[in-house]
Amino acid sequence: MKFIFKYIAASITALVLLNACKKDKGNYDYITVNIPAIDTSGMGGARYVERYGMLDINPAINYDGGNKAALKYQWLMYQYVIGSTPPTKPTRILSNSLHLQAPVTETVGEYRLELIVTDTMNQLKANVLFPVIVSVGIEYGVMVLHGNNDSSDVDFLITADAVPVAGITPRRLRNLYSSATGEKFPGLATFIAQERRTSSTQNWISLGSDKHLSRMSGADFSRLREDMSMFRRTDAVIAPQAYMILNNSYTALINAGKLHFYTTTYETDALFGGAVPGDYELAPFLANGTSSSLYAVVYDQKNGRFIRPAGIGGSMINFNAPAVGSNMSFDHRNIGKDMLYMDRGFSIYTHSFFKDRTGTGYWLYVSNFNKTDDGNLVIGAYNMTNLPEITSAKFFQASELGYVDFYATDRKIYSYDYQGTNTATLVYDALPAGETITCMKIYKPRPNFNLTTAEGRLLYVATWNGTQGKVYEFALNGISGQVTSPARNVFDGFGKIADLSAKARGAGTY
Amino acid sequence: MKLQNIKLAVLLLFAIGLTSCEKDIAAYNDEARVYFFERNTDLSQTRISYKSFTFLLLPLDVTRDTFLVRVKIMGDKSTSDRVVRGRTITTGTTAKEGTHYQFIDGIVPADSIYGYIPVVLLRTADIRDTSVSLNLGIAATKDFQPGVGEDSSIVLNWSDNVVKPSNWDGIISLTYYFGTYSAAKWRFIIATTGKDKFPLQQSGRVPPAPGEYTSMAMLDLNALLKAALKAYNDSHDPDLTDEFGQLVTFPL
Repeated sequence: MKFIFKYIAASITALVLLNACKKDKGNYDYITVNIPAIDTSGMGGARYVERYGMLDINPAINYDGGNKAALKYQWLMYQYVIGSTPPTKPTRILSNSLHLQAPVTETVGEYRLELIVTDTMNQLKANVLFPVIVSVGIEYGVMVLHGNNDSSDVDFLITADAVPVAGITPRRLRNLYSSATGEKFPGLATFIAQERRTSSTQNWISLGSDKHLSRMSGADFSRLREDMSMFRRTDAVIAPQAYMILNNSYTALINAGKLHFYTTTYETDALFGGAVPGDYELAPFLANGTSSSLYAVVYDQKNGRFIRPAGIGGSMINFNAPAVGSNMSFDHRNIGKDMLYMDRGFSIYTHSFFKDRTGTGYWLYVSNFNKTDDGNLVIGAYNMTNLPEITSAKFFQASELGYVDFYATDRKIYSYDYQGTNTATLVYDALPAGETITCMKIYKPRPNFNLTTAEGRLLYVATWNGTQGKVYEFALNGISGQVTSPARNVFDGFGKIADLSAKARGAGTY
Repeated sequence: MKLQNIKLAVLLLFAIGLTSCEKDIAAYNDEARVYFFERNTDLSQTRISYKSFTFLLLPLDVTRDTFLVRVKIMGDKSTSDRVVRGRTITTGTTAKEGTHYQFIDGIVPADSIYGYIPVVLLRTADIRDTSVSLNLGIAATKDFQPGVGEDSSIVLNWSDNVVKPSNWDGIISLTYYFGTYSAAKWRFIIATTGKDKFPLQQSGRVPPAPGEYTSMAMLDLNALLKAALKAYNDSHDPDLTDEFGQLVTFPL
């Protein structure tokens, strides 16, 4: 009996095992399990938002065969980091609703916004990412430096004409400097300038007064450094007069009549060395049209000549003698006049406005400094002596769109057709009584990404009536020289305006 | 019970007896003494028995410098300044008094337990390529006798010689900014800038590390040195010449 039982048990075991070899005939019942699809069509990609602004995104959910009521939603915002660098800012849940309506409290920087949709029945998830760049709202606009003899502040104007960028709301931000630092910008203000090299971290704003120099962040206007910390040497004097990042990426500063310059993209390295050595005293003007081989072209008011550095670490040198057969209208080495202004004009030529030291002559000298010094840099000399009210001209601008320049007296604006008729036309004479012009600038954002339709087509005129400053924004024809009145926008409530400058964002992220 | 009381009493007496072992802290009744008190900043303030100095970082026209060695007194503070002074311990001393160094009086200020012994070090020509040592002791003065123990001496070593920086030659090197190496040029660079190390940023693609010199920084130094060399040559005759008989120059 016991023997038989062994055989029976072995047989049953063999049958069970053999059953595993049974061919699968595929006779199953399949159930389709869908994943919720997030439809973001028409919503665009990256979001450029201002800090404390609202994010409003309402994507559609396609969930065929699924139960939408079983879905739960989560919007996450986390810092975008590159490589293996760990994030320094915590991840935040913005909302648990499909329709995101939440303020952005993150600080300035780049983030990723992620929507995660989860089916609570089966835990299947779907997600979508949106790049989010948080700014403080000073990406595009016009900076206005205004105040009195003792101190100044900065307002930021964003108009529809100046910033034809989708999603940008026209508005005015007041007192950026004092908001950022807790104090006014000390001294008698002289300039405000953007220093932006695109696709790099070189995104700064510089302010100068007769006794102070500050560098602010172009992203959030926080103060980065000031005064002696902007120089490499401890014997530097603080008397900034003009500041510009040139088209050759050299940043130039005219300080106490001397030139300092550097090129770098690292803020900690963006320090001015000693002044370029030489016997000279500069007119406080720079033009954004200089070849890398010339570094920075400046005008030596003391000796009446254009000069340039021989190199980084080199001394100031003269230009080459005019080449045989070149335009001999003037010699850069021997101008002998007082410079009134210098600006970049049409074809990236440098326009220099002069007054004779003796006599009553006024001149426009046009040079091409945007190439190596081959002795053939002179483009032309234009006699402005007989232009209307030229002796009262205080402000000059050069159009980059055509052969026309502008000058302004206390209350009138003239356009100057230097290439054709060599005559000037009164293009604006309608300021309210009591107002006089304190600054005039053509809108020249650099870099000009997203702003090419506005570039050179707006003219900003600042006035002072003894009580308050105003900014007029005029439409400008940079080819014909026509200024359209009335102004497109008028802003008031400023102190006396010392300078205006376009502020552009550039390409890439911060 | 009675035995228990006796035991307790004996124990009590023994404990009282132990308290009599507490040591009296004796007052310092010896004469005023002073000893070197150069200490490291570690937790145990380990003793420093050797100090060095180089003239290299000083401008070329500086021919002497006073080296101060810290001392601490034994005994009470005084209401008036007291004089301390160094002396030569011949063992271990290679410098010559009067040629390489001089002693002057130092003081322990009133109401202080610390002071400094000054040693005037002289920038002589022979220490441009060697170093000299002084085994410094403490001289007896009207105010102090030398202290005792290991803090009664300290070795000073000084020189004015230069060593060619390791990053002078190479692809990313100082040659581009300073030119061909010579000891005279390097000595001039150090004296002008006050620095004897110039680590260079290795790539413009990454931000400069703290302490690294960028190309812009080095170019500014180049300009600074050229101006300083011109000033030197304008005020000296002959112009600055190196050990190979060549005029010192800077490129760019």
